[in-house]
Amino acid sequence: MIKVLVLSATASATNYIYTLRERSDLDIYVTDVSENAGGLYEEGIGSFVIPRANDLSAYRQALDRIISEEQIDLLIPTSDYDMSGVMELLKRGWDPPVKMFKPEYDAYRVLSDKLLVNQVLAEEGFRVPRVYRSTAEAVCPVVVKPRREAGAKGTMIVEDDAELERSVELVERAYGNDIILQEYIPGGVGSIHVALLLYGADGKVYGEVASRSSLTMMTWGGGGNAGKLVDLPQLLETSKKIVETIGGWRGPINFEYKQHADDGEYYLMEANCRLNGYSYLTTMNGLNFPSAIVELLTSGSTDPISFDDSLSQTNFVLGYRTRVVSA
Amino acid sequence: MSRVGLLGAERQAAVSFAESWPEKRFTFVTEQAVCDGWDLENVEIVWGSVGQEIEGMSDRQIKVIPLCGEWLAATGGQPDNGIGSFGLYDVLGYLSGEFDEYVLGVTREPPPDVEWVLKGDLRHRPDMAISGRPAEAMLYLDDPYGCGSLFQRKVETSTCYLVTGYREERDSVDLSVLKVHQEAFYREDFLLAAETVRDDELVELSVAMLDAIDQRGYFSMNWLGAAEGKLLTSLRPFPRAVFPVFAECGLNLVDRKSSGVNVVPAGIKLIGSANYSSYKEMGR
Repeated sequence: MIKVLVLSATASATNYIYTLRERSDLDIYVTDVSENAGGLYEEGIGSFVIPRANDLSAYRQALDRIISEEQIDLLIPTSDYDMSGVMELLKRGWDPPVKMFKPEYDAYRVLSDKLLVNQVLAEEGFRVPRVYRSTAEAVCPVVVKPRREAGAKGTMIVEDDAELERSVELVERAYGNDIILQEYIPGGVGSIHVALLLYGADGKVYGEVASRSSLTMMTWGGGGNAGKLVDLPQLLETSKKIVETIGGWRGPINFEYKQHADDGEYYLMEANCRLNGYSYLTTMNGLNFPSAIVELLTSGSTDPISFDDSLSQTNFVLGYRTRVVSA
Repeated sequence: MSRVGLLGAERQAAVSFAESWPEKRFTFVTEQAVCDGWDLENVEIVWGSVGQEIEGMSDRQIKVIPLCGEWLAATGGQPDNGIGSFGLYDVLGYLSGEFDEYVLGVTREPPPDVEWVLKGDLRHRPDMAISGRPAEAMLYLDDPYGCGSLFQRKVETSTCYLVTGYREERDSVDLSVLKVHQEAFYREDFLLAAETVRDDELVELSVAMLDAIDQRGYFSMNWLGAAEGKLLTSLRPFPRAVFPVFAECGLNLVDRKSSGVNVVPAGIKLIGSANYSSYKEMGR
């Protein structure tokens, strides 16, 4: 039996939990900082509440204890917070007795920083939204967002110059002074696309698929909660070139693009060093990224997975359904 | 009446209804092109626009339950209350008269000297919860979704309670008191974790307030546990997605057959889990 420890119990962790628990050769263990995270209550898994990843010492102690006591074989961080915690620990010499992807820290540092990745890719000629250096330079509408938060957290779209200073203050107060002022790329429902790639420890691509959201959590377009797979090879090729430019990758990574309403071009909005939040859509369509990740970690190889437009497709809508659980 | 129509079925309460009473058949009506619930065997989903006749609904005997303010207005005011308005401004204003120390009032203008929380008058404002200082209020006076903008004094507390259920008349109500552990505020608000608790004071106050406005039908009341005591922050005539706790103890809130005042016992934990299903896109 292979024992898999999945870090985080929401968003992309859902794909791992729902997919891997179906395999009889795996035991699944899941952690989260919140005892109320939905994934902790799924049947057939072991659950642990652990300290936040930004408390590195306590976080490491908790992971070491679980890895030792449960004799964990594979470690898979699935949230931005856990990726950050694990990458910082690895940089400091942490070497737990598990198999896991170990991307280069320098590549991670660029990809996980919304400002840095924008600057690096702009210099290399990739299509990215313009980033303004100050409110004086900014031209409304402007996107104000924290530099490192995941998804749509703390993001505001400011239409009017008169509101800009106060909006910046609001976001800074909630998320700290490290914020980004970014050109707003116009585009309605359906403009947000995700390119998901899976790299092996050998640096080769073993999985690639693009998807498009048809409903978003926020009215202004943030956070996809319905959508479908799409055949967009140019988006996948652009994403691979980005990875090459940054210095390569190991493990899953996704890139979020917005299609400009006027010229139809795709602008890179951000990179996330993990499966995307609604990646269970890929499993629904027979593209089993979690199992491929397990194969890559255990054997170093897996059959490549990619979009096949000759097969019938399934779209998805995400709902949060309440159920009674054991307290 | 064999079928129940849920209007505004993009709300989380719709699926909660259908999953809690699988023996009932539900018609979800929504203005959105995408709606959760296509995988439920007891659910059909139709697209409908507020104020327009909904295809296939008028020729069937369907009990209709509005789940949000737009649909409530379109259905002629059911559920019902005795003060002639469901707006938060009117309801909290009315209750302030009798229950002043327990009601956190709202104003149409931002308070001049305290931090505030922005609320919708007729319904929840979409997207993230917004709070701020007096000078920032002008940022949020726009109201693109027609919710109505109200300001409420911000109270620092980590304890939030939800009292929700169904009231027929005085001394005839089913309700649950839940301590809310986690909610998410997106296009819709989602309850993600809560637990029923025993709190006699909240039951007594809530029932008294419902009696005071003679609320009939579904209701949801948000309470804060603050240093200055329990404070009611909202009372809306809609259910929330907590029906599993009622079903768990045999209370049927679709076809209410119970009598008297029934309170769900403490210790039932509710978790909101991510569910993926396929959908059919709808539209005009």
